[in-house]
Amino acid sequence: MPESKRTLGEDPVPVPSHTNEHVPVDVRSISGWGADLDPANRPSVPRELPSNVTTVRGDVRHRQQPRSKIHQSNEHPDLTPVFGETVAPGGVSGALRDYAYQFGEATNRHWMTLMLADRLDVYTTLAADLLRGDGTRSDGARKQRALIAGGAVVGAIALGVWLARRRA
Amino acid sequence: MTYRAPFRVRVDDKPEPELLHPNDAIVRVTRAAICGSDIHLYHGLMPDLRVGTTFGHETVGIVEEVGAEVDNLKPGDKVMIPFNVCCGFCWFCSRGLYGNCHNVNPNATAVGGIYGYSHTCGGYDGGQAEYVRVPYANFGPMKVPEDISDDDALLLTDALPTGYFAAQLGDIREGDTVLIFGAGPIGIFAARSAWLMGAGRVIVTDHLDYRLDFVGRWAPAETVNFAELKDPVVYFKKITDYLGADVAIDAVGCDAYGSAVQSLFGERLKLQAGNSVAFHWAVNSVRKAGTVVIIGAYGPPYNLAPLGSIMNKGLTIRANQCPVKRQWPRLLEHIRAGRIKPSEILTHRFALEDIAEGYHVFTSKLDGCIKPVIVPNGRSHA
Repeated sequence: MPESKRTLGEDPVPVPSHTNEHVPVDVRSISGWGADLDPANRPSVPRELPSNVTTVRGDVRHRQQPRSKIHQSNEHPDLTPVFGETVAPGGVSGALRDYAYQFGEATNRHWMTLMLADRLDVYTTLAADLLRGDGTRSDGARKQRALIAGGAVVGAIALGVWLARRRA
Repeated sequence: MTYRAPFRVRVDDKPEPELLHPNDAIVRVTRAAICGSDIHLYHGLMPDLRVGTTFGHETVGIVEEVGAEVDNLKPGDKVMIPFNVCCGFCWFCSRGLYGNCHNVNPNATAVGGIYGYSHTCGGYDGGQAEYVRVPYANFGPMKVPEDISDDDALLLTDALPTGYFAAQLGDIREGDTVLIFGAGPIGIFAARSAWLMGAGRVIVTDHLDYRLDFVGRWAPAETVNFAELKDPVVYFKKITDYLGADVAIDAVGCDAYGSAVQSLFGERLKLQAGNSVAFHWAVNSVRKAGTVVIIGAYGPPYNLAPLGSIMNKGLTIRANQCPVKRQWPRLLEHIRAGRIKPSEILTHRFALEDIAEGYHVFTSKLDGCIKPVIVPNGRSHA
């Protein structure tokens, strides 16, 4: 170690016990070393390939038809040509999602309301599972802990949304 | 599988997917993987994650049915499906930015489409199921080459391309010191890829010794267990002659370990998009004018970030979802040349019926688990 390093004083950081001795001294002996040293061999160089497409959607020929309510970001000019329909919004959490999608992606109100909707969705599911005694890998005590934790999270998020709305 | 609540998934019967667009295909899943980024979903960290969603964005399977416009695939073809849902013809796809496709996610413009990754990522069901719908099947999936194993193909759908892409984002030059946060599958592949790009040193840090042991031998790499250190950043400075690493890669994302405050506000109270301590350490461990790569997944809305250090150090921040399909030709060359054998990181197999146990083992880092595979109609074993 160069002398200048010692002037920093007593070594403040001990070496962790977990050290590795498998790296060759000459790294060039590692299989494949430098095979992609030339950026020309790197498939994402340059980041953007040349293109003549000038519109954001390009040449859309077919559009999927929605079978249920599809939420749409207000930054999209129209519904995208394809989309997923995993779970249609419903209940109180669905109403919250409806509300959230009125606001742009740059707003806390949009994302925090979605998080609140997620917690409500989960909370009602947990309650329903408890009442039905549905099988999961969780035991009863864990479910109860999850319910309590869920309630605390819902409260915290609701407080956050309330504070955000007060400031807006 | 379906999501029920944070830490709770279970196997449910759902209607089989249908062709909803002329360019759709329906694929019978033969292999799916649980990704480290699925943990973020499992912990309930992605907004608009609805109960009943099926996870899974790393999938290999057999084409069962194709739409009228699909002319490059036919029933019976074995395909690997990139995690990006992408059209191939929008402004972004036409430039090779398949992770930023604008035509597949109505719910957000900031994120492209990802299978099984919440409505924020398009609301698609994922591949941890018996069947999956594949939009734009003419463009996204690729027939598995005959000389590529199913397990290698599975790891070509996300983990290997993403790790390799992370190293590319670092613009690694010959002799660079590359510091990687996270010894999960992405960090492991990023470490291996850094050598391909001519790194002089590759250092991987994590708090799990068994993963450090693996990456230390497999990449290979220098390894550091940060949990043994009072101040990991000072240690990284010390072992780089107090210069700092040339490139730092955050391969952890929003489920990081190592800061009680970040964990409280990000993971417990959900008041930011998870725990960003790995990013903080990356920013502080890289040298001035160095490059920080974010490849670990973070969701909206926001995270606390050390903007002052980024500005004052003159850092370059590089990030994106990996455009998987773009990486395939070169990665197939690497596999065929024997430079990378991706399936060597697979440690566990779970039947679809046992997926709750698979998530438990993977997220709790039990039994030396590095990368689990889900096999519909298969048997579970390590």
